[in-house]
Amino acid sequence: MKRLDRRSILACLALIGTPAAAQGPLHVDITQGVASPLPIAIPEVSSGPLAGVPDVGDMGVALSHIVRDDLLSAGLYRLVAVEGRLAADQEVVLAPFMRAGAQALVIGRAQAAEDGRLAYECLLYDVFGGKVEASQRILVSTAQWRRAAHKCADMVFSFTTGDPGHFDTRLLYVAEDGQPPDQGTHLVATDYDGANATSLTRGLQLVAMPAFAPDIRRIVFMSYQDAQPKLVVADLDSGQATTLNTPDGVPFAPRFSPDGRSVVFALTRGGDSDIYAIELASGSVRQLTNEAGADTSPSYSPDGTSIVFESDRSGEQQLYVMAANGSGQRRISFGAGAYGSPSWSPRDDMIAYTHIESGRLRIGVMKPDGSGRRIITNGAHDEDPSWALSGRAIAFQRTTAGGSRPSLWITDLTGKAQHQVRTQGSASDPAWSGKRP
Amino acid sequence: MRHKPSGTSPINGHLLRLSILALCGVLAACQRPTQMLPPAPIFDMGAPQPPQPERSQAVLRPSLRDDATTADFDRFAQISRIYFERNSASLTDEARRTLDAQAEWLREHPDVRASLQGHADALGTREHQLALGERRAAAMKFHLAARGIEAERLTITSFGKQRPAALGLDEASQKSNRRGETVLIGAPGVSGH
Repeated sequence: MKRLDRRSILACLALIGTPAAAQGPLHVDITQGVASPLPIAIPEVSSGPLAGVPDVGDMGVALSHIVRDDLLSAGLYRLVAVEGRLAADQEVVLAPFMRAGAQALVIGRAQAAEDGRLAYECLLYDVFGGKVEASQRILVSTAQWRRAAHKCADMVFSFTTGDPGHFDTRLLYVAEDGQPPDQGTHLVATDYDGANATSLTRGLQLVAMPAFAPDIRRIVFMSYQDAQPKLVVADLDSGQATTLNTPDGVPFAPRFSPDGRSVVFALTRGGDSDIYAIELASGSVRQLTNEAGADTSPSYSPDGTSIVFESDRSGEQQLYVMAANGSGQRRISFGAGAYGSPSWSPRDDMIAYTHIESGRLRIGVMKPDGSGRRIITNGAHDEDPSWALSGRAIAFQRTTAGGSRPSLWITDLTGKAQHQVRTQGSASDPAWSGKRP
Repeated sequence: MRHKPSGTSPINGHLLRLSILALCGVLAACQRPTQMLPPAPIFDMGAPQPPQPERSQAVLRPSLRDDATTADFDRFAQISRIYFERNSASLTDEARRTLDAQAEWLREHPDVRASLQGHADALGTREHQLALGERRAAAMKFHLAARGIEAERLTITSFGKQRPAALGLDEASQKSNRRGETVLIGAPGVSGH
């Protein structure tokens, strides 16, 4: 064990020394959004059950399954099946994995740690190079045992792609209560894979358009009280909820700025909708657009200097980019159909949007200058894209024809790896968090 | 780390602490445990509120006339909702007739206010439909005001596509969602709504 510890620390230091990407054999090249998937083995490593976590069975096996689900959902890895289950104290022999064609091998060893916590040692091997490329000893409370697997998958994703992993994250979504026309909604926060869902609001009121602050501790959303919508900033730690003092009109579509100090939103009054920003500390409000028509759905670039938004000032909804102070507004979307609900990628290389054509809504991506447009989903009604912090995946809402309730989906940027997020009941309007503390 | 969305400017102690924690995440050697999160609080958006009657049967303050009820309003104006064409806030002839009747009723009941609520179908983006709903409500207000209803008696709001009348994506369902509703909300100076 002692030798193992030293090795993991060394590997960890190596990881810090080359933070960006593995340029070696384990590097996944996804420049064009199309990768030849990395063959990866993620064997079950038995640990036995963990005290305090009933109904999970063998903790090590359960965690390895979550690591698999996480990595396979990204569309960048191909699982190499290898017979048999390893014991936690078993020496790792690379030959069988090499024979099976795995280039990468993930070994996770779970054991009980002090104070009733779970320790998960996560190692990424270069099978042909015969060495550990990255490792982490992850400590979590037993109640949050699933996070150990998500963090392990994040480590593998980050090492192989050079981008931060998006598995140890949370999603916000809107759940519906009751039937039309007396339908209410409440906010739900959940792990990105649908586990650990908690309701954040209750009451038969309507809440809508949630967004995380970059610190994940705060959220902002639209709340109808007596039919009059307000923007509410809520602190998930303290439970404090603050109504923002916005100008007269209907405020909606709030998003935090990347520094978390202000909220940009749309405000509609007398048939005209414009974009505003409110500084949270001072409460000062600044109007950023002043054109006739509906300017809505603002989203900051990751450096906070630009804002992309949706406007029908040309007659149809199109995407526009402007400086954060409202200057230099220019249209970036051209081509058939209408464009809306833009969201700027955390990687700064893409803008996701909802494309509308012939009554059909689908998710697309384009570069911030409007080039490289492509549609990546193919449902009847796909909308409300929200980026993963990796910039490699997008959560969205899908409604199928036939009046079914909306559900949450996650897609990679090719559209080839799509899966539904398990939720209880309907789920719409997702917001994906940044890095969890 | 180059895509880290925040934490580069330590705006307060908490953020700083977060970045230290984040750093620990990278430095496996720190071996800091994951923070135990308290259960997420529940934000009760419904409370505190006085008990309210069902909106469709809103009890009104005694009016100049004793028939100031939503039922009477509905009877008189035929219907309390109007419909719009797709992606349009223009009032159809039928909608104008309905609003004219609503205006007549509201003139007879000067102490009753109304909330004009615009809705939209599911066939546009959530944000655009919210703006469209407000545009519809504003068109209703303009028409009622032109028929002599004081502007301060009329509030406008929009639900966009967030409170649909029907869920199906078929045209018949979506047609019923392109609507403007006139909801009576009692008399000025009366609390409770």
